[in-house]
Amino acid sequence: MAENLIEVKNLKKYFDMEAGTVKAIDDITFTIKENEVFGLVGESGSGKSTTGKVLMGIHPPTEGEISFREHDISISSSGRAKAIKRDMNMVFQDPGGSLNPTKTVLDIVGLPLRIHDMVDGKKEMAKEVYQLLNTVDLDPERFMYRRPNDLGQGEKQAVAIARAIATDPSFVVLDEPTSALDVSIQAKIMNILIDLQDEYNMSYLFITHDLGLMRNIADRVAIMYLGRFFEVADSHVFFETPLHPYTKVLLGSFPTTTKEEEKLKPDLKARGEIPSAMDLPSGCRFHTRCPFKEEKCLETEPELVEVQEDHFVACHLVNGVDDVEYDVEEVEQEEKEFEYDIEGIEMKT
Amino acid sequence: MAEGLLEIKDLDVGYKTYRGVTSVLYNLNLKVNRNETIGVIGESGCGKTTTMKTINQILPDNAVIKSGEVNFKGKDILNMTEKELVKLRRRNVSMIPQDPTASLNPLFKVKTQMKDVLKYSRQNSEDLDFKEETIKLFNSVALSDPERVYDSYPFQLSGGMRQRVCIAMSLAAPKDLLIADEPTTNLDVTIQDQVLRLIGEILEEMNFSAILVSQALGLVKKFVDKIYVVYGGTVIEIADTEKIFENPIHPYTKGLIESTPKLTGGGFSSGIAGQTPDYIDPPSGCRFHPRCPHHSEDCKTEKPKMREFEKNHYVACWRQ
Ligand SMILES: Nc1ncnc2c1ncn2[C@@H]1O[C@H](COP(=O)(O)OP(=O)(O)OP(=O)(O)O)[C@@H](O)[C@H]1O
Ligand SMILES: Nc1ncnc2c1ncn2[C@@H]1O[C@H](COP(=O)(O)OP(=O)(O)OP(=O)(O)O)[C@@H](O)[C@H]1O
Ligand SMILES: [Mg+2]
Ligand SMILES: [Mg+2]
Repeated sequence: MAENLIEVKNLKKYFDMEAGTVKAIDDITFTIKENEVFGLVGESGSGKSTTGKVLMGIHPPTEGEISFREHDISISSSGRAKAIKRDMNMVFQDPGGSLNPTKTVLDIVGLPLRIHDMVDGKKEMAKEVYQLLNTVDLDPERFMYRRPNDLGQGEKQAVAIARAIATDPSFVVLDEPTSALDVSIQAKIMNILIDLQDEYNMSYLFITHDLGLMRNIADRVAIMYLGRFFEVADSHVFFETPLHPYTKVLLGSFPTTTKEEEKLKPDLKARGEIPSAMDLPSGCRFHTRCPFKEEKCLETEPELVEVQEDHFVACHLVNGVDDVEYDVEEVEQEEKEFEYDIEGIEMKT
Repeated sequence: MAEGLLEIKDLDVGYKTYRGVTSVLYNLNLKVNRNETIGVIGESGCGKTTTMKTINQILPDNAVIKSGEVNFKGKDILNMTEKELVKLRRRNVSMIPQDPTASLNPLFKVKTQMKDVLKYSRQNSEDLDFKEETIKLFNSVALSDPERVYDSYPFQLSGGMRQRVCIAMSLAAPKDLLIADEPTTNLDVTIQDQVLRLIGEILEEMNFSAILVSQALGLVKKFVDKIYVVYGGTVIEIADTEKIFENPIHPYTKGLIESTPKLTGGGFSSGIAGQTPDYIDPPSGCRFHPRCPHHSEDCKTEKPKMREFEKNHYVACWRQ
């Protein structure tokens, strides 16, 4: 059994705003094992990046515990030991915003090496950076002395990845790390990330909206909705036999390129308005958009329970793999009528 | 006969760098008809954004337009005066930029930035209730909590929320041509779907056109009529959407389609061997030849011409 690298217990992160409190993370519990790729998918604005940032100590948690190899890290980054900081890193969602526009690629990628005294002098740093750029498939000769503004979006992302792996960390948060890369370079970078993970025993928290990508990188996947986890399972279980209605809706909307993939997609479409993160619906926070909701869904919030080994679901209508109290086919017809409805509405606006 | 809206002819654009002037776009040709949505795909750094910024004339200072024409409604954008360009951007062409964080000003609240956009792009904007208009736009791009977003600084929003703010800005006053440069990279698939459908409806209703630039091939497949594949600053294949996926001809297009990770699993392909061209000293002849398994002598010496392979399917490759 693999050891746990990161343990998160009852984590909450609230942001107080003038208009009210945003519950960006609202009580999540999970672990990331050594040498594991833990995937996070979900609605835009559901709290994925915030989860990454809280693990990194960029935001202190509002409540809850986080430990890293059994050291408590439920504090912001400034209070953490230097050795732990070196061991954790993050590739941020918008590659442009996270790179200092006045520095060269050499300085940007070299900075963590200098901070953590891993190189002796400029020359050694340049040598290391040269190798790192090669690793992410950027020709060092051409890119070393350029600044972020002279780079394409994908090139910026490659630089951000090089910087994140510079200190050989054990844990890296990868927040949409390849969203600006074409599928060919993406494939190369993914292979590199997988090799690095094997070679140095790294773990990743991998965040992406690209479900095809997720299917091929993650060992386990969690799906998040308005600050909470709805389903956590091994990757192949998650994609082949999802149980939560929201998981099915998300998989059902994924644009694919082949017929085989089409077959795998559940036939459920998104419906309804996304509720406000400041004024959450009662009971199950998905009920306003769930085609199967029942009385109890409006009243109590379902807990995340293990319905079979290593497969967790938070839904009142799912009591086990074979005990699912809703029927996808039944709503298909309804769904079609609903489609007309939406079209009617959209014409008016 | 479809009516032409935008036609780019033999466009050459480079950048001044410390190693000299690069040659990024190279004989690039592209055409958009009225009421048509085209997709532009191609690997990172192949010049997609450079092309789009040339259309709107918002290239960075170190860019050099060497030659070519960008005809919009019959008038060459490259010869327009600054005044004409301002009008073009406010009235005719809108762009959803690739990096939403970089294009929103971090120092101003969303409401201030939305107000500016509405003020300059709408006619009779004096009588407008800016807040009401903004909230309406936010609702249409599926932003929940529109009031909060309205009153937030960009850093207080998630990546996808920032992106939708940018989309809302570009839709503030629909224009003849919408350029969407990777508009949905930060959106989950359900919202992606909703937003693109909305854009599609607006385009159709108003008889407008769009260029969708995206690496997400599945997405492109779903929303565009015709696909342009770009490699090393030049177009190498053009076809109706279905055809490109069923029968890609150019070795580069084939490689790109094969590299797409699948929902069915199976791991990652090894990608297309080799690196993108060095634009200071790009390969002679066909720019793809150093990476092409099928290349021969003529590929090294002469740039392949675009020719019709089958109906509505064009390819620039000596070996086909
Ligand atoms: N610094 C902040 N101040 C106030 N609210 C914030 C802050 N950071 C995030 N939020 C809010 O927290 C919620 C979750 O944001 P987060 O960035 O974690 O979403 P996400 O799941 O990463 O979304 P996306 O897929 O769009 O990137 C959003 O409603 C966002 O507006
Ligand atoms: N301001 C600049 N100065 C110098 N070179 C630049 C500048 N902007 C872009 N480039 C270079 O021009 C080439 C094309 O860049 P462009 O941004 O057009 O690519 P792209 O196809 O949009 O890529 P991506 O998919 O990564 O967004 C890249 O090699 C890039 O490094
Ligand atoms: Mg995010
Ligand atoms: Mg680009």
